[in-house]
Amino acid sequence: MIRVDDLSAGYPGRPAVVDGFTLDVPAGTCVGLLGPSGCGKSTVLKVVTGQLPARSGTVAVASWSPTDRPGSRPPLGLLGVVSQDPVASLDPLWTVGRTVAEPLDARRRATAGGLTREERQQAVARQLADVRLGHLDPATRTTALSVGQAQRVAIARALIAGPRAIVADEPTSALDPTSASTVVRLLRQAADGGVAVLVVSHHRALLESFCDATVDMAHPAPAASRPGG
Amino acid sequence: MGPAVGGVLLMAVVGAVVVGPALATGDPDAQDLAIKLRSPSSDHWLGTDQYGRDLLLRLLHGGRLSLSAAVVITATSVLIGLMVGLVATLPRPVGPAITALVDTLVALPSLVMALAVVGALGVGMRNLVVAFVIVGWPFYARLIRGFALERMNRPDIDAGRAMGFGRARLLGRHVAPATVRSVAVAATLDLGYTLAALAGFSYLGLGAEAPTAEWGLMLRDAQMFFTRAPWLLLGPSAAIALTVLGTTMLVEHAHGRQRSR
Amino acid sequence: MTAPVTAGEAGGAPLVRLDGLDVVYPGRRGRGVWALRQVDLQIGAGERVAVVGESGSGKTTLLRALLGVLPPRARVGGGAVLCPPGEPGREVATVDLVGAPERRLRAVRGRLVGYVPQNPQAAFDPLRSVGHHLREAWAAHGRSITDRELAAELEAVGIAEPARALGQRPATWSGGMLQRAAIVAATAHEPPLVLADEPTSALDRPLARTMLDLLRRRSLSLVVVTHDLDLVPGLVDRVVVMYAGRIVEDRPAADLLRHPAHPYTAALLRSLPRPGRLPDDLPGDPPPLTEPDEGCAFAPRCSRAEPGCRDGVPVLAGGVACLLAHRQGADAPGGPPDKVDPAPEAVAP
Repeated sequence: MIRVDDLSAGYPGRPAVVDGFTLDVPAGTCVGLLGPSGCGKSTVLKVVTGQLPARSGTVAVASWSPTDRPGSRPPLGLLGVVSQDPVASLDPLWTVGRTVAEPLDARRRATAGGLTREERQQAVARQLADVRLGHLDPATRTTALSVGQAQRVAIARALIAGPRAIVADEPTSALDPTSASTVVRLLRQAADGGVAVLVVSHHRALLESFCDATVDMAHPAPAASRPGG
Repeated sequence: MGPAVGGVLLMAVVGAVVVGPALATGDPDAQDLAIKLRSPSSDHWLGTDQYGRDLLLRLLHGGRLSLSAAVVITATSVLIGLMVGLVATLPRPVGPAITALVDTLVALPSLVMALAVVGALGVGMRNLVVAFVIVGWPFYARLIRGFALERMNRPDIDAGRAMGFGRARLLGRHVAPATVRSVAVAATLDLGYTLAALAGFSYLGLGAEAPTAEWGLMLRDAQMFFTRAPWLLLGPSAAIALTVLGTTMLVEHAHGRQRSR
Repeated sequence: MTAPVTAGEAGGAPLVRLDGLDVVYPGRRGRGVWALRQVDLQIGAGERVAVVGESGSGKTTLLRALLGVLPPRARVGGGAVLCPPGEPGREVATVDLVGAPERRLRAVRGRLVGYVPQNPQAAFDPLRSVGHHLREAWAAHGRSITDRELAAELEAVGIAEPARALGQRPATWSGGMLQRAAIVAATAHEPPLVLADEPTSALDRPLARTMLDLLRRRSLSLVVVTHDLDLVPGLVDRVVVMYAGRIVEDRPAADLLRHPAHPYTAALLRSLPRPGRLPDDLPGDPPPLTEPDEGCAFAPRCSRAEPGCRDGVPVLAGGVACLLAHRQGADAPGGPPDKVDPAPEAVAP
């Protein structure tokens, strides 16, 4: 799960964008971070993924803490990431299959063991099916994908290594309503499977349609809402 | 976009140079003073030089030498430049230090530096190749560093880092392939210019040595005997011009296609 | 091909008319990409239209056609004309958006059409000040403007300290500010037609509302491409829904939002997020645009598709291109039984 405790962070040479921020994302839940641009919600994400050092406070993602050793990168397979621009979050020279499998490949390199070629192929096929891309040929180039498909590939990549947490930065802002609704359902599905999901968005209705709790950065007391049914 | 005229030109030159010597049998160095300085005829399509050597044969064999040298120089410079350029993107202290070194080297005038290296090593085609590589790689290192930094700005690198991928993986599997593509254009242009520069150094007596068949040397002969046998100029000048023209047009065409996409 | 029209006829000459417009981009190996298929669209003076559809539905190409900036390598069939408003009773020459020479189109674009791009940051030269860009925009319309007037315009749209801000580079302006400046620049010369490409996708909700309000106030006829159906009520009179290069529904906004006639429109509305309820999603993907369609392009994903839907492409008639809707329309005047929750913001315009 994700734990943010009294976090202050900002960009070099500028005053802190986030000050004394506390947040808890338990495993198996979706938490939404709501706020207009410039309020610091993306900054929180950057600290959580280790991209930006914190000025004070602590952050923990399961057993890893980016604030413990600044500049450290997350252990392989701990975090999954979904970005605002789906097409730019994929390598344009790669294929879908290779992209989705990369977290597995990286882990195999690191642990010198792991999956056979077949197991890898099956894992990719399974993950693609999970994100409703089961009919997509893994040899497809990422540049041939529509925006909606690209985001689903990104989600498949984020999920394949069985992460403890997923962070999503405005995952639907580039998408039309039907593709956005699929992404939302997939994120909810991930949470229902035990992953801690943290979603940043400026769209209140979106967050409240699938998150267990929504935190408004402008008014830090968390406003809870439950998904219906 | 019309057909790649440049590509066709280049293919013609390369084809002639690769296949020609096999088809047009004969020794480019065979002298026959009885037929020296003959104008083009059905026996000798480009005529003969001051030693009675067939100019067409010399052109084709010389082309092999010049082109292979130019390719080796360019490829080696790109390779070294790729490695150094990627290393130059690392965070302090390594990256900035390498970058400073590369920037300094790039600022030095390349032809003068090549002359200096040749002066130190001695003349000859092999030393010329070494000199050009020594002088040429910093340009690529800087270019590649620029492309690499730009590529690293793309969100997929951030996503990879957040998922725990190491720098080696990101650089090697994502950044490098993208930069190599970008460099292909510069390298193609460079090929033409390197060829012309090689001929120039040979012309000055700093590269290939007589009696080797080489385009630059042939140009020098052409100059010496211009009043008596102006046709000596035809082969080497046309060959060099076509190669440079070919690479330039190929690059323009590739550029144009990319733009209209 | 395009006859001159007499301006000012009541409800008469539409401002823009697309007739059976086909646009095919040449692709690799002889396969083309059918970006627009048989598009019929008319926009009258003073009308405001929202164009909705997923990426690849053809909405960007539609805007390009209206702007007259279809790429030269595109193969175009059918017609697209712009009829500039003129004095009543006088003849005005129509502008062939497809065939006219670039010089004419450029003159037309500058005077008659304003364009608000999707990404405001990309539209501004990063090396020059914002003021420089805005002055150029005015000059492109054949007008000049003093810095004081410029500052006044910016102040009117809520940009603080406009005089100082004008001298700054775009990087120091926020996305919202740039978008407002872009709207001002595009509408300064009061063009009869304003086109906006997803002007709010990068903006927060409250800011998006402001922006659209601004657009509405500063335009006479407006075509807005948008994803955001929630923001549409109160902004536009009419909604055009596109799918796979065709217009599938084209009806007054209020009607369409409450009683969508086309199954895709209904699916679109059901997938809008509402608090406390997971949105419905629409399985599948739109068909690749590289093949000519046989039958209704939406049929594979349509919950109400019948075998007959694959036989022929439904034409746009009565504002909808759906065999079932046509049949229903013929049987019962009440409209299709589909009902969706009205968007909470839709109640008050």
